[in-house]
Amino acid sequence: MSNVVRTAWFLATRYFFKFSKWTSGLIIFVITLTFLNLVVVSGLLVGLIEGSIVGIKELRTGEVFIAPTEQNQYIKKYNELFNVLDNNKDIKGYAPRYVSDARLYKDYKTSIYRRVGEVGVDVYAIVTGIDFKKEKNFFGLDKKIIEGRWFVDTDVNSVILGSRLTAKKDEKLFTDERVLGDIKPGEIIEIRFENNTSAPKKFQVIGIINSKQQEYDYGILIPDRELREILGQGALLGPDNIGIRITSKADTTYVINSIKASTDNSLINVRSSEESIGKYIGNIRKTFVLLSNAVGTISIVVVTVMLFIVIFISAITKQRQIGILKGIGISPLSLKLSYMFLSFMYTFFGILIGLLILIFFLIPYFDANPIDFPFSDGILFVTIPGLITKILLLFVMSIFAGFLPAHLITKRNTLNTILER
Amino acid sequence: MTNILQVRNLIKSFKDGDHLKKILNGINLDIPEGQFLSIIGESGAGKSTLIYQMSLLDVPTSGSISIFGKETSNLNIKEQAEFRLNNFGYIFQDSALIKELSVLENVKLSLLAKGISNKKAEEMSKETLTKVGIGEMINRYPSEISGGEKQRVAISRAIVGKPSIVFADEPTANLDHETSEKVMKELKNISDELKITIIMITHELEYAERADRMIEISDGNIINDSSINK
Repeated sequence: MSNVVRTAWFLATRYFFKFSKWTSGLIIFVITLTFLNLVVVSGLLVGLIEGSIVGIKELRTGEVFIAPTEQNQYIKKYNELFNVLDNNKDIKGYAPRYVSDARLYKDYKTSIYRRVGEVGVDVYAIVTGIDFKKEKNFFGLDKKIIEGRWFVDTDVNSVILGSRLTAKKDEKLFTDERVLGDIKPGEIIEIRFENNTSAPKKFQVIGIINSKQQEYDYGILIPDRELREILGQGALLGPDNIGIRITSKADTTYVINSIKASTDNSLINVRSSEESIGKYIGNIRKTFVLLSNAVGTISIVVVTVMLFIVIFISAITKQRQIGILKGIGISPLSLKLSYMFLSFMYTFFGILIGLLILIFFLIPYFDANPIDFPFSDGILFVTIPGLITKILLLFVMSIFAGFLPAHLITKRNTLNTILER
Repeated sequence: MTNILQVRNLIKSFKDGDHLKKILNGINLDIPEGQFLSIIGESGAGKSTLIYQMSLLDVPTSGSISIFGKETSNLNIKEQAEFRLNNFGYIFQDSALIKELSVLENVKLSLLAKGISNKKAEEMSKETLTKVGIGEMINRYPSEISGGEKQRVAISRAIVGKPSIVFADEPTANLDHETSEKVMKELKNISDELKITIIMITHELEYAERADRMIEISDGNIINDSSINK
C-alpha cells in the first residue's frame, strides 16, 4: 500500500508543478475566494451579533449582571448587596445604574424633553443615573463619547445625551423614531422627570454618547447623585441593574454562586452576561449562523464542481497517459490517488493563501475598522474550531472532487485508453 | 531452453455490426526464455492484437496464455497490473513518455511503484540511461529531446526493472533510418547482454531479421515461423 501512495504522491507533485501556471493560479485563486467566502461572510454575519454581544458585555453587563426579579421594579436591600460585592475578592469592580421609575416606553405624551424655545419637539427617553467614575474605570463608557466630554466631579445640571436622540431625519433607524434633532454639546435642554411634579428642569448637554447600547444611545446619562437629588430617595428606591467586572483569573459561575449564596435570591437575578442577554439575541445568532452556512454550502458546492471539472478535464486529456501508466503496471489506485492528491494540493495552497490574507490582513483590518452598524460594531468573528471545521470540509470536498473523475477515467479498459478509442 | 511464454489456440474477436470478426484465429506459439522474436505482417493482420493479448493489456476471447507456466486468464485487474509491473517492459511506438516527468523520473517511476527506494531507483535509472547512451540527459523533459532519444528513454524505462519480457510495438515506426539503427542496436544489445526475452512488432523486414526468430501473421494466423541464422 505504501508503494501505491508513494507513486501517487510522486505523480501528483509532478503534475502540480508542471501544470499550466495560469490554470493552477486560477484554481488556487478560486479556492482562496471560496475559503474567504466561507470564513469572512459567516464571520461578518455572526460578527454583527457577536459585536453586539461583546458590546453589551463590555459596556453594560460585565461578566456578571444583577437585575431585580420580575416581582420587583428595582434592586431592594442594595446596600447589603453592595457590601457583599465590595467584599468579594473575585470582583474587580461594579457599577449600579438607576433609572427613573417613570420611564414609559410607549407613552410619549407624559415624558417630555425639549429644546428651550422649541415647541412640540418632545421625545421619550430613559434617564440613567450612573456612577460616572465606575462606568469609566470598569466599563470604559467614557470612550464612547463622540462629541463633547465625559462627566467630571464639578459638573452640575449636566447630562450626556444619547446619539440616537440627536439623529437627523435621514439618520433615523425606524420611521416612527422620535428624535430631538441636531443638538450640540453646550446647548440647554429641559427635562421633566416622571413621577416628579416639579416644573421641567434645565440641563446643559456636555457630551453625546454613541455606545451602540439602546439604553444609553436612546437615553440620557446623569450622575446618580444628581438624579437622587432631583427625584428624592422616595422616588429612586434602588438600582435598576448592576454590571460587575470580575478579575481575569476568576470563574464567572463561581462568582455568581458566591453572590447568590450571600444574598436574598427572591429579590435579585444574578446571571452571567450571556444569560442576561437572553434567547432573543441567541436566536438571531442562530439565524445568522444558519444563513452563513447556507451561503457557505453554495460556495463549497461551486468549488467542488469546479475542481471536479478541472480534474476531469485534466484526466480526460491525459487519458492515453493514464492507459500507458496502467499498462506499465502502475496501480489504478495510485493513479486515482495522484489526482486526489493534486486536488488536495490545490486546496491546500488555496486555503494557505486564504489563511494568510485572513490573519495578516482581514482580521487586523476589521479589528481596526469595525463595520459601523446601528446596533453593534461589526467584527470579523472567527473561532479556531469553526475555522478548522471549514478547512476540513474543503479538504473532504477536494478529495471527493479529485478522486471521482480520476476513478471514472482509470476504470476504463487499459488498452482502449492507450489506443484512445 | 524453457518456454517463458506459451500461447494456445488464442482467439480474439470483435463485434462488427451483427457478426463477430475474428482478428486472431487460434494462434499457437511457444517463446523460449531469452529469445528475440520479431512479428511481421501487413496492417490489420493481427500482430498488434497478438502482442496486446500476450502482454496482458487485453483479454482474449478464448484460448490460453501461460507465462512461466502460469495461466494468466484467471488474473484479476489488480493482479494483471502487478504482473505487468514485475515481469514486463513496454516500448510503445511513440515512446509514450510522461511529459510532466523528467527523463530520469520517467525511468524510475516503475521502480518506485515496485517499492525500490528513491536513491536506489535513481542509481538504477542513471545506470540504465548511461548504458543506452543518454546518461547526460537525465534532467531534461521529453519535450526537450529528439525522437530517437525519447525512444531510448522508453527502452531504459522498459528494461530498468530487469523484466523477463520486453514488448516492443513498432519501436522504429516514427524514426529516421539512422535513429532506427541505433534503437535496433540497443534492443539487440539488451537481448544479447541481459538475456531478456524481446517480442517486437515491426513492419520492416530489415529490422525483423535482426531478431533470433521471426513469425509472420496474416489474417490472424501464423503463416511463417522461422529461426534466423546469424
